[in-house]
Amino acid sequence: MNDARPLELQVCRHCARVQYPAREVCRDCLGGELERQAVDSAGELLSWCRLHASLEPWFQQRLPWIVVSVRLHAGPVVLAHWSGDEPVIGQTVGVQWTSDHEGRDVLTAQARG
Amino acid sequence: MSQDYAGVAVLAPVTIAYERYSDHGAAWFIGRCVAELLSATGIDKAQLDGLAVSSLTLAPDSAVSLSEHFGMTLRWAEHLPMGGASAVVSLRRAARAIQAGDANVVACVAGDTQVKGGFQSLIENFSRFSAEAVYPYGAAGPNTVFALITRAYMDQYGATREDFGRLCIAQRDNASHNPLALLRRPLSMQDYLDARPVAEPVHLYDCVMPCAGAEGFLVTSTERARSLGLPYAELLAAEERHNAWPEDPVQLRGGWAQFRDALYATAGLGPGDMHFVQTYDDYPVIALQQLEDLGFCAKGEGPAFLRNTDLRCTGELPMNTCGGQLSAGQAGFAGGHLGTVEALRQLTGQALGQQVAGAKVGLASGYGMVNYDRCLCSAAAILGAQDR
Repeated sequence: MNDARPLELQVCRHCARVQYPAREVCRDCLGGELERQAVDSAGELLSWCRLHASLEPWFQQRLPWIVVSVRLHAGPVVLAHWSGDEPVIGQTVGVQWTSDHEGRDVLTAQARG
Repeated sequence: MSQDYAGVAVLAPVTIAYERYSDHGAAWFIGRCVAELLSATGIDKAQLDGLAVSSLTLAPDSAVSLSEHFGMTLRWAEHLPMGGASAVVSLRRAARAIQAGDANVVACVAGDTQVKGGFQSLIENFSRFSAEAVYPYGAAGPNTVFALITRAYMDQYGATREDFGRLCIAQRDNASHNPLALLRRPLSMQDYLDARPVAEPVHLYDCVMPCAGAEGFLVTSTERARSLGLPYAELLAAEERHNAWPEDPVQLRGGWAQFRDALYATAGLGPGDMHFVQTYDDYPVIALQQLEDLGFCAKGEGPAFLRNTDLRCTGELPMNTCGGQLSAGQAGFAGGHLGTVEALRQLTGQALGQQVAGAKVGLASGYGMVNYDRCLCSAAAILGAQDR
């Protein structure tokens, strides 16, 4: 994971609800104008798992692999790759966009003091 | 409260034996299930005027395509994309069609195939949200989502791996009597705890074995069932919810907790009256949540309940009496029909494995469609024996 970029997510132009995963319409007001904007990148770690199996060779060569779920202060729950020591439920984390081995935009989380 | 389901008969529990892998397509399993439903009841194919189908691997075909494939002209067809909730939902839909006279005899069938290497593309493209926001994070399928839910539940309510182990071991005992279960060898607590980690805290015996197979039953009027001399069960209550509790950050409860009171009120019964329960057990934590949300114990008391309650067919609360998906296998969306079909077997005295003594009323619940970080569909039905 490299090429870290600030957290931008879809925000509803009508009601300002932050959306994730990306949608066609707002989950609250069903407004049709969602724009990518910078949002608060901090959140609370809800849970985490340590993968020992994967369907993809790239991950199979790097197991075990930690994936976390985070409730962003901006609202949505995101799944993210983890960078750092073993996660702790309830800890404050920061989330940013990164590029993965296939060039996809993926979220990576790490501890934030 | 919904109108009741008076006059509706549910009959003919059929399972097409599960296989780990198959060269047949989903339509083979569904078609053979329809054939078994007809031969078990002596009903002619031309009399079957309703068909409800649920399948993960039938695409791009549907219940409509199958009418041509099976040479049937239907008055009523339903295709349900609700995964493990499809059995209860199709039962509800079919029951209303019977009450309204829109169909005379409905077959509710779920069937799927399993080809070697076919699992990955199913997982990768399960939903738009999951393709974009789950699969890239380790490509581990539903194990990732349910490992996250399992750890959050353990953290919140103090559940241990031993607690989940008790559930899995009891169900394996039930499966040991069922000749159609793929996993019948007794499971010890040491076996359970020593199993290899898959997505910690989820280990091997917390996961179902994907396979091919089909499950089905018929829905008609009690009048018709009696005239044919066929044993049947009655539908006493049924409910469904989709996207319940959307603001919960982690799914520690399902839609069952929203409709439980209405479900029992319609049936005029409570959880203490159930002679068995068939929960949707894709992972033990989800089965445990159903026990809580359907009122068998209070929220968060699931782990203590498992320590104090024998879930075997001979126990205080027989659960997943054929072994559940954890032991029988998960034949795609037929996994959701397994519990309803087993409930029907128990209530009509046709158990494949152990018969629960005096089983007159029981509950079957469903759960399905992990769209992003949780399953969206929950459903449950209370069924009663005809001579209860």
